[in-house]
Amino acid sequence: MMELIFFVVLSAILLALLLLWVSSRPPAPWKNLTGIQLVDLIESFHLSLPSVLMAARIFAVEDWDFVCQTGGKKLRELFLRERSSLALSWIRATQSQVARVLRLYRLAARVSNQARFASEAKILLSYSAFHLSCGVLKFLIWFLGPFQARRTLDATLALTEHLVRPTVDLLAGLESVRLNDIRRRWEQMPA
Amino acid sequence: MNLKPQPRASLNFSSPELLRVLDDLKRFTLDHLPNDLARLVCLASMRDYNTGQYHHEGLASQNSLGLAAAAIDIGHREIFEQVVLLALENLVNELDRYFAAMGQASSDARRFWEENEPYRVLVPKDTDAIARTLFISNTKVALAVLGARAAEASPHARQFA
Repeated sequence: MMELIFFVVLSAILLALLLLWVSSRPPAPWKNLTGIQLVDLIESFHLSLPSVLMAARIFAVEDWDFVCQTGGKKLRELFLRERSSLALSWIRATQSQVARVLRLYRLAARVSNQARFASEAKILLSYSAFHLSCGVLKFLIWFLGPFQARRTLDATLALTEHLVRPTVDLLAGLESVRLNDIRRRWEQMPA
Repeated sequence: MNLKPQPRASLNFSSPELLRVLDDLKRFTLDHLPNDLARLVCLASMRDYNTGQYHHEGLASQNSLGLAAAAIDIGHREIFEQVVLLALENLVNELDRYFAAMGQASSDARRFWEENEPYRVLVPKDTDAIARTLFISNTKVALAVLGARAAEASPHARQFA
C-alpha cells in the first residue's frame, strides 16, 4: 500500500512539473486559422480531435449531484458504473487519437524537413506527461469515480492541446503542394 | 466532437439550396414538435432501418431525393448533438415531457423504452463511438430516474412504503 501511495504522489509531482515546463511558453497564434479551419485541416487527414465538450459531459459533477439528490443507492451505482466505463473509453479514444496525430506530425516534419531537436524533445516530454496524466486519470476513476477527477482531466486536456498544436502549426504553415504530398503519403500509410 | 456529416463528393453542405431545404424541414416539421427529443425521434423515423437512407415525402416532392436526404441527415446530427450534451437533469425533463405528450400511454411507453431500448436507433449514422455510448447510457439512466419517480408516485408503492 505504501508503494502505491508513493507511486501516486511521485506521479502527481512529476506530472505537475512536466505541465509547468510544457506550458511555460505561451502558445503562438495558429496562423490566423479559425477553429473550424483547424478542425477541417485535421479532419482532411481523416483524423479527429478529442472532444472537450464530450469530456465535460462525461465527467460532469452536476449530473452526479442530480443522481444523488434524485435516486437511491441502486440508481447511484448504475450511474457510477455507466459513467466510469464511459470515462475509461474516452481516455482510450483520446490516447489513440493523440497517437495518430503525432504519427502525422512525424510524417509532416520528415517530409517538410522541419524537425528540430528542441521541439521534438518537448513533444516527447509532453507525450510522456500525457500518458502519465491518463494513467493518473484511470487510477482516480477506478478508485474514486470520474467526478473526483476534474483537475486531472483539465491537465490531460491541456496536454492534448500541447500535443496537437505543433502538428496543426506545422501543417498550417506549409504550401499546398507540400501539404498535398503529405496527404498522399498519409493515405498510403497503414491505419 | 465528430458529429458533422461525413464529406460526400456530390454534396456541398453549405450550399444555399441545401440550407433552404433544411430551413423548410425545421419550419414545417420540427418546430411543431414539443422538444428536441421529439425532434430526434421524428428525424430518426425518417431513416430506412435497412439502408440508413433518409426519406421525407414532402421534402422529396419539392426537391431532389439526394438534397432532401442530405437536409434530414444534417438536421438529425444537429439535434443529436444538442441532446447528447444535455445535462442529465435536462434529459430527464425532455423524456418526461416526451412521454407526457402521449397521455394515457405514457407509462407503457416509458416501460417499453426501458425494456426494449428503442432509443438506440436514434443515433445518426457514423456518430463516433463515445457520443453514441454517452447518449445510450444517459438515456438508460434517465429512464431509470423516471422509473424510480413513477414507482414512488404509484399508489401501490405508497401503500407499502
